[in-house]
Amino acid sequence: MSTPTPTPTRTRVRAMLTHDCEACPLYVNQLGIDLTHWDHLVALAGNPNTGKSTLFNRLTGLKQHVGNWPGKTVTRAEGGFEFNGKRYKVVDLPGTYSLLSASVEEEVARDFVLFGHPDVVIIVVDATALERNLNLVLQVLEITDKVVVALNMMDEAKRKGIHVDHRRLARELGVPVVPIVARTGEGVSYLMQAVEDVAEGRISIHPRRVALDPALNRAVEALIPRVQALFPNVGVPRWVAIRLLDGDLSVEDAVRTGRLGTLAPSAPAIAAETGPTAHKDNGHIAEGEALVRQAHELRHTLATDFRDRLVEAIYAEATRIAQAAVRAERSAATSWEERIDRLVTHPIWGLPLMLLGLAVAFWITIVGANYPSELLARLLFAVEDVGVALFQQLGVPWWITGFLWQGVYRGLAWVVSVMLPPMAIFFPIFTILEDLGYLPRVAFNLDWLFKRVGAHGKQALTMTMGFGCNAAGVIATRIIESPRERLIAILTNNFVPCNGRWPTLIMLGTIFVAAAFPPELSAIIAAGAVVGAVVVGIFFTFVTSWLLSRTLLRGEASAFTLELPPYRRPDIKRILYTSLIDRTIFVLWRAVIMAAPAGGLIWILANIYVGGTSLAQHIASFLDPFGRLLGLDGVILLAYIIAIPANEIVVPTMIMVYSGAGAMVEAESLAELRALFVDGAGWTLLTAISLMLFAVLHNPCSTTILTIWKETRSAKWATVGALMPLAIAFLVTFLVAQSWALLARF
Amino acid sequence: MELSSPMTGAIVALVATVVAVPALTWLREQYRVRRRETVEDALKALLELGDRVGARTPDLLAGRLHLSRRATLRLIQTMSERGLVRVAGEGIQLTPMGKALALHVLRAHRLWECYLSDDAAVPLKDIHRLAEKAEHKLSPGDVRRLEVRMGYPSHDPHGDPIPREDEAGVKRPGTPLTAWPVGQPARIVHIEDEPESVFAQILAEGLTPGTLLTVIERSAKGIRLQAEGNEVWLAAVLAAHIHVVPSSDDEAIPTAPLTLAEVPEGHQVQVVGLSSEVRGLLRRRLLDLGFTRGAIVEPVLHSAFGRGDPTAYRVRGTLIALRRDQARHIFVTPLNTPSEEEQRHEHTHPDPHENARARHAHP
Repeated sequence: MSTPTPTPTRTRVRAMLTHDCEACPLYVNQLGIDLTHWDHLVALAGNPNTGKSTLFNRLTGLKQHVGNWPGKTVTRAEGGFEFNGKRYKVVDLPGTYSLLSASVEEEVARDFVLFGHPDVVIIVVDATALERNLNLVLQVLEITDKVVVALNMMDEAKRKGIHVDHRRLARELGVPVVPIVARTGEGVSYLMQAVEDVAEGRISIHPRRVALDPALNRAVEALIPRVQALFPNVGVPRWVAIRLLDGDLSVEDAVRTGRLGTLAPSAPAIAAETGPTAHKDNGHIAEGEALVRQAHELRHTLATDFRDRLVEAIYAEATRIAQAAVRAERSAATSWEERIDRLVTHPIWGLPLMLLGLAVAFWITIVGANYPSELLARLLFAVEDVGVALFQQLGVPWWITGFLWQGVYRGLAWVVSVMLPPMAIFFPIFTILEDLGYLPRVAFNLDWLFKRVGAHGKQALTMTMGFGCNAAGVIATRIIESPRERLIAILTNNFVPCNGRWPTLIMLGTIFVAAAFPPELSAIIAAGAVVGAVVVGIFFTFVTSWLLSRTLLRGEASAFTLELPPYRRPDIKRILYTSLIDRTIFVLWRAVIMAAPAGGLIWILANIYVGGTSLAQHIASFLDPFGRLLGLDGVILLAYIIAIPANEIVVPTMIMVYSGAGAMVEAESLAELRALFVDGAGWTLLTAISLMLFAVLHNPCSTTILTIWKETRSAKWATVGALMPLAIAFLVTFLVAQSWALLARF
Repeated sequence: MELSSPMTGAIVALVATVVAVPALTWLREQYRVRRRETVEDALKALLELGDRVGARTPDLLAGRLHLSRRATLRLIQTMSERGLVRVAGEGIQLTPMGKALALHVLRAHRLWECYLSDDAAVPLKDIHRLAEKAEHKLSPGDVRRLEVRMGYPSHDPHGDPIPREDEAGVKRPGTPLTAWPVGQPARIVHIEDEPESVFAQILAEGLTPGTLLTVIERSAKGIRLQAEGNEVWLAAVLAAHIHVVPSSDDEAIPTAPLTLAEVPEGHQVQVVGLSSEVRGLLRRRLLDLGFTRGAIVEPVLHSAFGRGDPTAYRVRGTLIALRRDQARHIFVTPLNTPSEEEQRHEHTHPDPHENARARHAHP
């Protein structure tokens, strides 16, 4: 392109809003995770819920590199695309409202804009809430000049009667502003044209800087000359001065070590040569130290509400710009949304709607998973038969065949067939409800309950996620920004029975509790028993949340806020893809790593005999007296110890030990199972009740413990997360068994 | 199992060893920690006693630490052997090393109090006790990071100054409330946190450091004052524990402010300020979400079961839910009556009058 196009003209915007991207002059060629030899580095910044990831997917395609930011539990996505013959690498920054308050997300986003040397920062802005979004734009403009604003959700704004004058906005901000609809791809190629122009320096940018409070301004002015003297090629001395006054540790370090000097206009080249370890001479370091010291001195002369004033000044400017560029009229779309909100939060209709929604989600999961689960099991076990036959033909010793196929492989097959189908159905449903905007409303409705126990309303969502998988539930607690409430949600997630524990609960409810009632009632009683177990789990979630917030977690930081994003049509294709990749495959992979060795161990225990009895029997009889105290027996405890890696194999292991088989087996029918447990092992109603309680309350599986450790970065919390539920399970089953025995005496 | 069998004896011995060794190690470690903490407490007490002649005597130190005279003398002996204090007659002098350590502990204590109160929302009456333990566990690096995180506070939550690394600023700020003139607006800067019962009584009246107040009437028995919209009567004994400074005009909050929690659904209001009781993490988050002075806010939705707790507010184009406890601390002023609200539906944007007011509210 020879003529730079800072912002598209009105006619062109209309054209691209009406035509599909086929009509666009240039295409964005998605490169996915192919990130070799990129010419320009682009960072995507923006508030939460502005369609930032939609734009990211639009640019890079569904295949992307998803991981964590180094040393942080914040998701980082990277991808690549080609435009106009140039290759771009895109990094998706965490969505934040601000860059000032130093939450982990904000720190990550800020540091990347500053030290990641992006050629262009695209700030995705929600055209329907411009004023709020401008707060972040103005803050980024303080750090870097290379900004293009993507004015997203233009279609939604139009529907809501909000008219944004993007040319006025571009003039006010001093950077290119391109209206787009990320969901359909309209305007994206114009956006990329602007990005290219900025990256190649074809557009001169004069970003707007916010006017500061007089006292703060004096302090900043005092520091600027020194910053300039020390780092002559840093383009943003004013921002450095403000950050030093605010006591920003990473900026202080960058000043001390001289790393700030690498932030020159053509930074990537320099950064590539010298890298972050570039050290200046000692004199320079001493000067940096003196600068930091001067900033500390000045800091003490400023008012204590220094930061309040700073945020106020930025928002005041955002208000002014928004009022100049936005014209709004009330439209049918807004009132339609408000009507849904009133219904969803209605004192009478809110609760039934919510329960109905949950019930439907579970029903679809259970019914939908039934058939594929069975099919998968049949398929996987057929493979086992073939494998065994093959090994026998080859003359492999029986114990190798047994260990590999009936041990390792069978454990793995079991977990995969039980776990995969429900997860592949449950997670997408959950994500659709989330993207639709309904789940935040559920958290909003239920917050009063969680507030009483010192927890966050969003814990309702992480608990729901826990019904699928506790490890996924623990990861989902990232949506809770407040540190203390997040820890509570992590440590108590295990009290919600996961997918791997449902089969045990359903089996017990059906063959023991329901069997004590007439057959016509049995289905209802069985369901009631399972629901009862879940209610017990939820009850303990609240009790332990309450206890934790008053004891162990008292000293952790806390702040409640909850955004209710507007209702939006979810991007089904992306959801199916990401929930399969991010959650299902990821969780499944970890479970497989855990389940395969457990399967091997089970086989060894069942097949090594000492004095005529298998090791498994020995251990079970050793554990038996202890198990009896809890209303259980030694075999159940053994099954739970072996099943620490994966709860799905509890029942098969118990059947194996009781029947004296050499490998995990499934019972042919419920009657047979009942015969085995009641007549063979001597189970009573108490055993069934104790086992249900134990199944709900006991320690999390090893995947979950590992996830707690990774998410909290603390061995202490992982230990608490593992042992606290176990202690509670022991205590509760002990009390139940002993009171049962006491009552039986009368 | 027979108890007399040699096997049983061996197992008992083994178990006893396995239990006893870690237990003894743990006990010894506890003893060491306890001793280090006592030394640190003593240094801090010496710093706080001040360096007037006769201010640092073993007896005064014993009183501060609740130790016997003999134990105190032994403690002083230990400290002087380690080069932390010098003993000259009855007076105890801190050496530069001792003073640095004492400052570190004092800073750790007061900054941790800031953290507990601001970020962890621990009630003010409990923070002193918790910080007494935590002060010994923080390294100089921790304290420095804490100071940055809390935004270089000059005072701890009940108003004691936080000394800087290189100075010993332990002077109390402000004028006692008992000596403050009637009718002049003031801001609380310090409330003495010992004894605990007096401190708790003052807090129970809703007075915290940062509270803006005006003395209405003073008598020998006590003081009547107006504090953030409430009238409070304080006994003179309590008032003597409070120190105040003159408040500047732009921080003044209307005498009977309306809080966001009291605004009925559908009424637009404008934020005039955040209460001094909202601090730290929550304050930063509320500001970042746009609850700054001049922001226009409207309650839109009440939670289905919480009866308005939380309530969702439309602020700067987004719905943000706040709990009642939080909305209570956001002071607002009405923007228009419901009839004007009807008109607003026709010409959507707030009229120029309001804009002018919005700008006026900013510094």
